[in-house]
Amino acid sequence: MTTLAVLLLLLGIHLAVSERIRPAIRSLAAQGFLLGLLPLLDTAGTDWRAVALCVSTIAVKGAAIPAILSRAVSRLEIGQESESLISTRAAIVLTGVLTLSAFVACERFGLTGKDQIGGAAGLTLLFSGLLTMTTRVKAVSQVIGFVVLENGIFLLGAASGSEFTLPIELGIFLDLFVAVFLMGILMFKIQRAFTHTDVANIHALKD
Amino acid sequence: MESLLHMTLFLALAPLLSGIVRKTKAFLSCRRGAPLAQPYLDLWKLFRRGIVRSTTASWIFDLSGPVVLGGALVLAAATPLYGREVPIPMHFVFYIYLMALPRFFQTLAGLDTGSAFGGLGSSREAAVSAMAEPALLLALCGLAHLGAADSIGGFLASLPSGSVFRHPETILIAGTLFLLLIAENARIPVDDPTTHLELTMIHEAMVLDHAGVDLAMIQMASHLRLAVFSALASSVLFPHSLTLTPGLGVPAAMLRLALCGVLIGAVEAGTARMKLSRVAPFLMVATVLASIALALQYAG
Repeated sequence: MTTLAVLLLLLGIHLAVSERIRPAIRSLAAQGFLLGLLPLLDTAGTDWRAVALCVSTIAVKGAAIPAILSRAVSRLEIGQESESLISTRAAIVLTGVLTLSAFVACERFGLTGKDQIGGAAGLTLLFSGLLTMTTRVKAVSQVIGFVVLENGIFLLGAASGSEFTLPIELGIFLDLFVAVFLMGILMFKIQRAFTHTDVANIHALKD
Repeated sequence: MESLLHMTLFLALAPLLSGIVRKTKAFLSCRRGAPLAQPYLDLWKLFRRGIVRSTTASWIFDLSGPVVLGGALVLAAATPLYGREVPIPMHFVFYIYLMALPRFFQTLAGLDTGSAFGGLGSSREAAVSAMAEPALLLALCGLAHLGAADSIGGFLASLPSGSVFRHPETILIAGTLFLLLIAENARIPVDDPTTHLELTMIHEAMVLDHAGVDLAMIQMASHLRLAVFSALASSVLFPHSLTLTPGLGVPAAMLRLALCGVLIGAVEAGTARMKLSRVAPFLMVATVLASIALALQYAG
C-alpha cells in the first residue's frame, strides 16, 4: 500500500512536470494500473467485488482512456510539446510545494501512518491534475489533467478508509469514460473547424 | 590496518570504476572502447610528464592540485565502503562542506590561469554545485533521521536493511543521490566528460590549463569522487552489505560499485546532453525528491 502510494505520488509529480504529451499519457496508464492493484491489496483473500473493481479500473484507466488519448494525439497531429503557460522550473517548484502541503493537510485531517501517505499521494495527484488542467495550452493535456484529478479523488477515498462500493465506483468509471470519449470527439471537431486545438486562441473568437 | 585496507581499496578501485563506466558506454554504443585499465595508464602517463604553467598563475594554481586530491582522499576516508568502520568518522554536515572545499580551490585555479575558458568553466561548475547542495543536504538529513545517527558511517550502517518496501523513502534518497552523482561528477545529461568543444564544457573547461602531475592529481580526485558517490548511493539501497565481515564485505562492495558503474555507463549511453538552462530543473527535481523523502519519514 505504502509503496503503491509513493509510486503514484511520483507519477503525479512526473505528470505535472513532463513537457511532452506521450510520456504524460504513459504515466497516466501506469497510474491507472497501480490504482487497479489498490483494492486487491486492501482486502484479505479473494473478494469478487475487489477483483471486479481491479479489472475494471485497469481496463478503463490503465488501457481504454490512454488508448483514446494516444489515438487522439496521433490523429490530431498536434506534435509532442504540451506547451505550458508556466515554465518547467515554476511547475517543479509548485508541484514540490503542493506535495509538501498535501502531507501537512493530511496531518491536519487526522490521518496517520500509511493512510497519511496514501492521502498525501491522493492530494498530490489531485493538485497535479489541477495544475495540468489550468496551465496547459493543448486540449489533450487538459483532458489528461482531468483524469489525473479523478485518480487523486479515487486514491484519497481509498486512504480515508471508505469502503470500495462497486456500483458507485462503476458509475464513476462510466462517467469518466464518457467524459473522455466526448472530449475526444470534441477535440476532433475543434480540429476540423480551426485546424488546431490550441485553446488560448479561443479568446480571439468573435461571433 | 582496517584503515589501510579501506584507503587502498578506494585508491585501487576508483580508476577501475571510471574504466567500467567508459567500457559500458562504449559497449552500448557498439564500440570496442579503451581497455578497463585505461584510467590507470592515463594517470601513469600524466605523472611522468612535466607541468606547463600559465604566466599569470599564482600560488593558488600550484596549491589546487594537492588540495583537490587531499580533499577527495579525506572524503574517501569518511565514506563507508565495505563495513561500518571508517578511518575518519565524520558528521554529515562537515562532509558536505568537505565536498565544497576542493571545488572552491579548483574554481579559483580555473580563474587564476587567466584563460577565458577557465573562468567560464569555473562559473558553470560553481552554479551547478550550488544548486546541487540543498538536495545533498536534504538527502543526508533524511538518511541521518532514518539511521538515527549523525556520522556518515554511523547512519549508513544502521539503515533498516531489506526494507525497501517498508521504507520507500530509501529509494527516493538513492534516486536523489544518483541524480547528484550525475551532476556533481560531470556525467552526461549534465556535462559531457569527453567533449572536445570548450564552449559546452563545464568541468573540463575548468581544468583545461592543468597539465602533468597537477592534471593527474585532479583526475585521480575525480575518479575518487565518483567512487565516493557510487559507494554512498549504492549503500543506501543495500545497507545490509555494510554489516558483513570484511571477507564478504569487500567483494560485496566491489559488486555494488561495478553495478553502479554499469548503471552510469548505461545512462550516459542512453541520454543526450542537456542544454545548460535545463540543468537547474534537473537539480530541482533532485531537491523535490529529497524533500518528499523527508516528508515521508515525517508521515510514516
